Amino acid sequence: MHTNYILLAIIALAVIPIFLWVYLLISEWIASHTNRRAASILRPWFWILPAISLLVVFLVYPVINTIVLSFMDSRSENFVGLKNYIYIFTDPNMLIVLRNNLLWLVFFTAACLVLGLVIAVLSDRVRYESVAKAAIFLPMAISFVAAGVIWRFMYEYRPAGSTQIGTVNAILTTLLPNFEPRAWLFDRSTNNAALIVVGIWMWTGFAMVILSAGLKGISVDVLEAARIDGAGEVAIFFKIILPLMMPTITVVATTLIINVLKVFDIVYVMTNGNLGTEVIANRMYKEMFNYRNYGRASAIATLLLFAIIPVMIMNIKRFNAEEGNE
Amino acid sequence: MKRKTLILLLAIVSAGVALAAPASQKTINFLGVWGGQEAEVFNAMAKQFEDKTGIKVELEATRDLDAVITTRVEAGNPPDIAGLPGPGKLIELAQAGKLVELSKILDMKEFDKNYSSGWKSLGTVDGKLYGVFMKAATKGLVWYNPKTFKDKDLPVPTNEWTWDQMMALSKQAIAKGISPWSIGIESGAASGWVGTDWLENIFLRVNGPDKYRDWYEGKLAWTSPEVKKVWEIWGQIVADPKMAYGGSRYINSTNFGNAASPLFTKPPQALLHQQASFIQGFIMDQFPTLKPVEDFDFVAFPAIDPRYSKAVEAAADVIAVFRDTPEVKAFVNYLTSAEAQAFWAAGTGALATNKNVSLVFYSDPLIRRAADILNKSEIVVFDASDMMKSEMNAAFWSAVVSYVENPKNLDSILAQLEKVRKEVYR
Repeated sequence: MHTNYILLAIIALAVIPIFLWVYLLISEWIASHTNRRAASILRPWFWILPAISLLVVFLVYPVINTIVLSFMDSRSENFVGLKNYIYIFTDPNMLIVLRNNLLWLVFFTAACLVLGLVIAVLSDRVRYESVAKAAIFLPMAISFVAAGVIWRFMYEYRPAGSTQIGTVNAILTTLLPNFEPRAWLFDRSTNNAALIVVGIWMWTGFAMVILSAGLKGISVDVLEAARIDGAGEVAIFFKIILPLMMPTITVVATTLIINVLKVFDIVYVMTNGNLGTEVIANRMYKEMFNYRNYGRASAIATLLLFAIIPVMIMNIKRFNAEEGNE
Repeated sequence: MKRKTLILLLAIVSAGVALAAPASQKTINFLGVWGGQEAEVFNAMAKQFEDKTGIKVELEATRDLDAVITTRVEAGNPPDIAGLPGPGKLIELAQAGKLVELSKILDMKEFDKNYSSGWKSLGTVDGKLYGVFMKAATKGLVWYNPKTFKDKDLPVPTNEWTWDQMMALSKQAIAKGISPWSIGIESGAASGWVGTDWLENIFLRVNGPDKYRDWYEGKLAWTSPEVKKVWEIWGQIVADPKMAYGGSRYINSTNFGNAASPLFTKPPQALLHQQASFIQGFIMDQFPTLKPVEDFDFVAFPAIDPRYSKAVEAAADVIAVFRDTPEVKAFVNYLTSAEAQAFWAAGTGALATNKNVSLVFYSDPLIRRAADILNKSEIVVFDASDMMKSEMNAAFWSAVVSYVENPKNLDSILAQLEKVRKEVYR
């Protein structure tokens, strides 16, 4: 009755290399039995074909299928035209979802970049640099779900007058005697900010590490020349360091943007999108797995895909340009 | 070199084949929501079955059951058996043709002896039996700490009390400096369900069981006066910061499992707590020194319309079968037996649905009383939100959260629910 998964995995482990090996033997045999010119055209295609076919089966086909489904109804039975897309851009709840992603996009990316850059520049000048950087980078090692759980404890709310067991309220009520404890995750004026802070806490380390590497790449001679010319530290930062680091900053920014558009775990764990905190990926998950509305889920997925594509292209272009320069 | 690689690969394949031989032991894959103590009880129950039959039962537990079931069914990889939290999903899966009809599996004579017709009809979809209930809870019980009533010199409510008496008691409590109610509705992906229980219990006692059925079947508009009135009655408690401990912030941010705690802190901060019979397990976990009856007790939900005063709401997990094999057949028959269900009764503060589980199996007097209330009620209805379609249910949960946040938005919240109803029940 039950497929033995371990057995299946072991067989796959052996069968796939055998299959590929046989495939290459056959293709080499074909290539060697044609003339030299044909062989030089065919051979690269033979070699790349397995990778391409996997890509088609597991990436291209699902993407096309998703786009097709996004024009169908909830059970993928009838064609409904643009109905799902109209829903995305007119339903008041969906508009809140889009607004939230925009908030994440702006504040998360900006904060990670600025903080990452500031920390990279400042820590560059102290002796305990590695310790400071490790501390900032550490949250990267925690899973999103675990971070969400940790921060839920930090944001815990108890009514004024009783002992505050949430770190944030405990600190604030101790430092500011008149401070009224807040339910950070459940108050519409603070909940999105509270969630974004968790994201920033996790990703600043990433921005810092890459930016710090970029900073170290700037030649000391340039900086010294500037100092000899009488430039102050502020001028050096804005007129020399920043322009020279622009390519790195762009790469970090685009990577952050791609990640923030897909944000899911933090919201799922901490508020599940209640009280106006839902984001695109959460909505997609709910439409798909809770409501089984494949049409809407696919439309949201397609929207997400097309939002990410330009950023990705920019990222790849930048990356190629940078590789080419060196 | 090439030949060596080939030999190595062939060796791996043969090792895999060799490993497969002893893997023929029969296993049942059971997907459910149970963790902690509930999982322990389930495993103890399954252990007895394993010892008798040699069939292994693997419990796979998740709190996001809805999503996991959908994915696995769609992927053609369903579990053998699932324990669903309510009939809503059961109906969906049965109508999609994903479930095995239980009359083919169960010894129906034995089943009819063990189960009341109410449970049987709840598990029936389009005239066929697809679900069998187990591990029930009586919902809408009002919990209290008898010592607080004594200290504050307040009259202890009885099972026959009314909503007006409850409001009068609340006023007295406020005058004596204690919050009448402690409510917490946070519950991860299902936040808000505690509020749906409140609203269902009020609805049942205001509009009666027939309207209640219309409501969960999607035949009653959310914007109708019947429904609106129910929210407003609940609003007498949640919309008044004096009535509920900590006000809306506390209600929305407190996990349901911790929401009874203010009754038992020193000094106590609240007087009453509404929750199903299972909360006893949570109370005793957090305050191990408390003794049932002496330190905490419950009464029935206050009556509103006298015609429906003997009504009670229940909930239960429902077993659905995806694969018809001899092993699954043996296990499902075992699950419905009084012998297996006695484990739930003795272990978790849950109620057996098999009526032949003797009351002596219940581990303490309170649970015995909850079981007795359920067995003797004139009107028993199932948790309405669990009967609704998943999307309606999820919208209902979120609506509760929004209502607690700002009760003034009631009209727009109900309009939003009505929009979902029209889409879901076309």
